[in-house]
Order: sequence, then C-alpha cells, then structure tokens
Amino acid sequence: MRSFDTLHIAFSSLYLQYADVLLSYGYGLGYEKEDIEDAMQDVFFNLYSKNPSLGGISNIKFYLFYGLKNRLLNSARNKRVGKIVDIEEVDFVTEVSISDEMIADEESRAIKERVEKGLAQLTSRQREAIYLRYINELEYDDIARLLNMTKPSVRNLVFRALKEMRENMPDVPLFSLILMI
Amino acid sequence: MNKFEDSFDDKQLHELMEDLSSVRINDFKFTEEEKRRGLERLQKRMRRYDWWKVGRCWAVAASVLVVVAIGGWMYVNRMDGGSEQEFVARVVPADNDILLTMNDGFTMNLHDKSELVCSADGGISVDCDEWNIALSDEETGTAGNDEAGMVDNKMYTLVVPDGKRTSVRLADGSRLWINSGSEVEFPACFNGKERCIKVNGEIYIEVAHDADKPFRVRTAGFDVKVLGTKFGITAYRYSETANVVLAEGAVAVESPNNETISLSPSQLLTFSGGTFNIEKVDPYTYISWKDDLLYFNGTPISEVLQRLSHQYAVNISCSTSVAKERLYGKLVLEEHIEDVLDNLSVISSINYTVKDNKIIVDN
Repeated sequence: MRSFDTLHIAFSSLYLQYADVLLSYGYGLGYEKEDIEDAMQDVFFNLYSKNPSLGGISNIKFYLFYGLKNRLLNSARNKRVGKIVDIEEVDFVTEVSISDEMIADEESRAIKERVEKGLAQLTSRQREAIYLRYINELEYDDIARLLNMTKPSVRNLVFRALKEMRENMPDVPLFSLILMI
Repeated sequence: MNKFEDSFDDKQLHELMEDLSSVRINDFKFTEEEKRRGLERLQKRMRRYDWWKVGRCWAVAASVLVVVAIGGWMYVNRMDGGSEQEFVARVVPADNDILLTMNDGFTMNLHDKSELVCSADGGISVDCDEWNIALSDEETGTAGNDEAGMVDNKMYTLVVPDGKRTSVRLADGSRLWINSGSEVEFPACFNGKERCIKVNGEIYIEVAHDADKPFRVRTAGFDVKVLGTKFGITAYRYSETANVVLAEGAVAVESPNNETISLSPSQLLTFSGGTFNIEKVDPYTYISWKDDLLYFNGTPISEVLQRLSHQYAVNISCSTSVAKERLYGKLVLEEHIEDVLDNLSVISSINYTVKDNKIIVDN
C-alpha cells in the first residue's frame, strides 16, 4: 500500500507553495477570499483522492489554475440559480503594485502608473491573458485552455494587448511595430 | 518559437516587458494563520479519506471471512443435488472499477453508480466534480478559427464491469443509464449531422429531442435511429439474442440485412438467430434496473439468477429442479447479493448457500 504520510507531506507543500498564487488568480477572477479558499480546498482534495501520484500531469501550476477557475465558475453558477448572469462577463481584475525589492521612488511610481494605464484600456480577456502570460509565465497552450480559445487566437489576443499597452509608452515611433506585422 | 515576443526588435516593447516584470499584479497573500488553518483543513480531509479507503479494505476482508465460515459449514451439510445449472459472471472484477477512457489515452477509474455529466463545451464531470482537466490535450488544429475552440472528435469509452452500473448525461442533454457488463462509446460533443453512440451491452436512454440531429445507437447487430424518445436496448456482443424496448416516442431499428423496423411504445423487438419478433410488453419491466428494481412476470428462476450473476458479478449455480420454477413480482437490487437472495427466498421456495465465492441455489 502507498504511504499516506508521504502523500500528505507532498500535498501540504504543494498547498503552501501555490496558496498565494491561486488566491491572486481567484481575486483577479473577481471572487472573495473565502470562496477562493473553499475552491482551493476542493481542487487539492480532488487531486488527492483521484490522482495522488499526479500521473500524467506535466504542469501542476496550470492544473491548479484550471481546477480553481472551474470550481469558482461552478460555485458561482450554483449560487446564481434563477438569475441570468453571464459569468464570462465579469471583468478580470488587475491591481498593480510595486514589488518589495523596488524602492518606492518616483521612477517606480511612474512604471506602476504606466502599467496600470496600459492594462486599463485592455479588454477583460486581454488582461487575463497578460496576467497569465507575464505574471504567471504560463505557456500559450495552457492559457488557451484557461480562456477556452485556440492557441493561435490567444497569441493574437496577447499580441494585440501588447500593442495597445505599448502605445502608452513614452515617445513612440510606431513604424517599427508596424514592420513587425 | 514559443516566445514570439522575443523576436520583436522594438524598444518600447522591451520597456513594456521590463515594466511588466518589475511590478506585481494582484499580489495577494494569505496570512500565516490563514495558511495554517487552510492546510489543517486539507490534511483533515485527506486523513478522513484515507480512513474511508482503509475501511473499504476491511469490509472486503470481513466478507471473505464470512464466506470461509459458511463454506466450512456447507461442507458438513452437503447435499448432493445431482445435475446443476451454472451461471458465471462475465467479468469477475472483485475491485474492478468502472473505467472511463478518452481517445487520447487518458483514463480514469470511477466508483459504482458514478454520475457523469458532459458539458456542452466538451468537458466532463464526475459526481459533480469538474474533471475535464486532462481531457483536452490535443490542439484542435482549427488555426485562425476564432474563440470558441470547439473540441472535435473527442471520444469517451466507458467500460462498466459486471457488478457495477453508471449513468451519463450526454452533451446534448440526453440521459443514459448503463447496466453491468456493458461498454459504451460516446463523443464529448455531437458536432456532426447525427448524434451517434455505440453500445455493447444493456442501456436505457432518454434521448433529448432535436429534430435537426437524429440520434443513432449502434450495436453489433443493428442500429436504432430516433428523434427524441425513451427506450432500452439489450445487445451484448456475446449473446445470440438482443432486444429493443420502447417506452415513449418512436424509433426505427435498422437491422443488419437493411430492414427498417418501426416500433411504437410498449413494443419489444427481439432479435434472435437472424430473425426478429415484436411483442407488446410492459416496458418498465425491461428498464427497471436503472431504478434498482427487477420485475418478473413468470420468469424462470434460471433467468433471474443469470441476471443477478451479472448484476453482482458473482457465480451462481442452481439445481435443475429450481431452475424451472417461475417467478412473479419485483425484486429490489439491494447493495449486497445476499440481501437480494434473502428476499428471493421469501417470494419463492429457494435456499442458497455461499461456497468458495460461488453461490449455490437449491430448494
């Protein structure tokens, strides 16, 4: 028989490692801390009860993100029975902050402002894609599945998002990007 | 190749990348206390689950003990019943699980009476747990086709061994019950002109109405074509006979020699040795297994035992004198075969004993 102890230790460290990242993603999707925690519990427990050896899972981070999003959408659907609410319509939240290593000087405040402005003009999907790609460094395949899109259209989405954000940058000679296309 | 943004030779873009990597987005953290409590909660749940699993092992050990004890007693009280009829379970599983396989090789074990739900977007959930995660590995190749990455050609195969049953809600909303010892193949979504599933074994299905997309059930011997209706099919590949019973609506059955036979409600179509026969029956008695019930109306005990042997994955033998006795009434499919046989011995004159994992029925 498999040793339960070893598995418990493995799952506990998995939980500690990803708790904050999952909280952030759940928050971005527009949920409260308590709901996110509940959903996380279910995701980890399901994994434990069905596939404790993590067989066939090559990217655990994506797996957890995917499970969390499904859980959250599901519980939201159940809560809103009777009301017609398009959950996909919910805006992806991106709250920009200055990282700890950076000194909160004029320069870093300017960067924060630029990113904020850039993100603000994107669509919800673009924001989510940028968040998944550049903050969480997920692969395009994974983002495609999280957004329920094809890989080419995700690339396109990210590309357009970057282009739009880029236009917010100071002194822009546009032609170099145009050449790229 | 993957990082197409690396190929950009663009100053602004590089700056943007730098900006993005130097800020944090949604930088939320659980407090240490919250993390500790969350972890405790998870560990508690895992421990409870472990106990439940260990508990199941004990249950098996206990039932083995019972068998040994009764077997010893039988040896002393042995009555030689002469010639016997024997029913052997087709798949002897012990802890053989229901198996869900996807055509990309992904497989998953399911508990008895699991409920599967296919969602319209190609995902599948088991007992309300969203579990479509590993199920859409392939790129669908529809490059350029925007958004809605419609997942094509994903096929599931569900193998339900003897002793187990399960139900599935298909992507179109049709409901499917699968009886013991059966195999069903169905797509994640119905994208073609027809909705088509393949069956080897016994099912009951309530087809969601869709006039534009006829539903087709393929079996080894025949096809059943419908628009929206409720019917049961028994078509085990190993068996000479197969039948279709219609509860509601209308179906057309296409036989191997290209005859089309139309059925109306309460009709039972039986194929046997190349010919077919239609009779009027109470359809519920043919599909009541889905509600854990078996109905009998003058059914020989041999047939009843044959059925139970499949339903519970046990081998049963009975003396020829018992085999011919006829049974009337209903039998609840309890969780354990012993309970069913206890009930059976009340409504008929049979006795049963358990020996070496085999059940012996006599009077």
